[in-house]
Amino acid sequence: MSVSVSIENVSKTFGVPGTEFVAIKQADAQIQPGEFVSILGPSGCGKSTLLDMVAGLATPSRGTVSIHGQPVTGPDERMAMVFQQMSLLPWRTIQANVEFGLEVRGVGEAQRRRTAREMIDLVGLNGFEEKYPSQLSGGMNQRVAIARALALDPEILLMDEPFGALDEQTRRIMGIELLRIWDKSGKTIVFVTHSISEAIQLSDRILLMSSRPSTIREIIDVPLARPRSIEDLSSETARDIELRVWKVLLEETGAK
Amino acid sequence: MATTGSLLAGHRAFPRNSKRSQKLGQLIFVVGFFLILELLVRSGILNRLIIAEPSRVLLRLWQDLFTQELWTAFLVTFWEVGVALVMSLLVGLVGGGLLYHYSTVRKALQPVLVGFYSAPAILLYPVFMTLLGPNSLMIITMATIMGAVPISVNLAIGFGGIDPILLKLGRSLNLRGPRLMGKILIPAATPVLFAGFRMGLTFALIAVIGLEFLTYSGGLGRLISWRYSIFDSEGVYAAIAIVCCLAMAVNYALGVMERRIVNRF
Repeated sequence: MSVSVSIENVSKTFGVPGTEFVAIKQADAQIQPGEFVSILGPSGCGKSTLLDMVAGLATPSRGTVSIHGQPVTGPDERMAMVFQQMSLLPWRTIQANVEFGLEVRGVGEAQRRRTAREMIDLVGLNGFEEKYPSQLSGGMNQRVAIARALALDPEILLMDEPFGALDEQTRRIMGIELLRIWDKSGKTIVFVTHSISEAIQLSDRILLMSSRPSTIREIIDVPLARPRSIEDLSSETARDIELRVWKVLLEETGAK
Repeated sequence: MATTGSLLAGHRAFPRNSKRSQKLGQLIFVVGFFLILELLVRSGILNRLIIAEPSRVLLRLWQDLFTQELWTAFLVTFWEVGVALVMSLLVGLVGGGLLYHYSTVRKALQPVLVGFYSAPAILLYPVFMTLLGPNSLMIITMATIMGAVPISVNLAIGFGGIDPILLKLGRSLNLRGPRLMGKILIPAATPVLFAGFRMGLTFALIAVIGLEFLTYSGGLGRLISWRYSIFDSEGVYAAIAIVCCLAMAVNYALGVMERRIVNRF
């Protein structure tokens, strides 16, 4: 099977020569089509920067990110992004927000409307089409953002801590919803998170980053059966993975 | 930008009954105010030379509508205000765009410009009168400057205050230049932009009337000044009422424009 996303020897440096600092140093990873991969690491280690480089929103200082062997040089139509912050357009209705990406890409109105309705249905927000983002909860708004990204029918979905601003319960429920959508759509998902339990709940593999200058220190398989139940998440395998991740994180942050 | 959304969405969701009672309250207040004023003048508590009875002002306004004096003055003011408004918008939009684009210039000039529009800039009229003479050109020039400053400052603030995540969303969808402007920048900044337009247009209107009054060069300002000098207090208030109607019409037109633009997004 061909590699969907390839991160090869990627480094990212910020600042001007003399005062520059290395954010990411020689990161390597390969993501397969249809895989759900999480990027996890200590706070401020450059998880979002790595995702931005995959998305073509930032350029690696060294190394290459490629999609199916083609280097990423800018935002690519095969990818769509979901952000942590509230990124809906507040002056647009939910329907118009979901249509936004399609509109930008020049899709005709009838097709746009149809696709947006399907995606709104997929994320379980039927009946909210004519509401505005300010009339919906944080979790519902993130579902809309996911619907907007899915409406573009991307091959790869990039998610930058999409549930980071939600409470624990909503986050868990959103995770279950996301797995259901992923199962139906078969997309490749690259998911940035700072939550260990979220990474275990969702991923096939976890790319565990070190602290700055960060690299991908370990790639951890999550061999839990799918669909994952609440019991699976408190199984011995899940606890072992959590313990392994915690040990690395504590080591990286220097905490005892 | 959540605020924008709440404002817009909130506006739509506002209960109709509550709006109706608000309007009724406003009407009662205005009618009540003029009734009390009428009584105070008629009873001699207020001097008729200083304050004219609203009923007599209304009658005078009606009579004025059939005189050439009023229409000539109105047309001069209307022309000056119209040109000044269009010029303020053009200069303000270009100036604001430049301020937003060149952040160093913005940082250097913004405090000065904000200071400028809170200062009584109309007092600079002797300079402009010396340079251009007491005529419509001088009035339009000064009104344009006074109107353009708040428009450009608000435009720069409006664009500068857009949530960076919306710009990132635009970049992730390869939106650039005019398309980014039309799809994200302008809609996101609309409430601040229109606040600037309102302020700019009000300043331009004040400048036109104020300068006509001060320089005695024509228009409704000159008419007010003339009637004031001959102790024609009813005439003064009738002319002021015309100015108020003009201001309300301009504001209303701007409101309609804002609603149409918002609905297009």
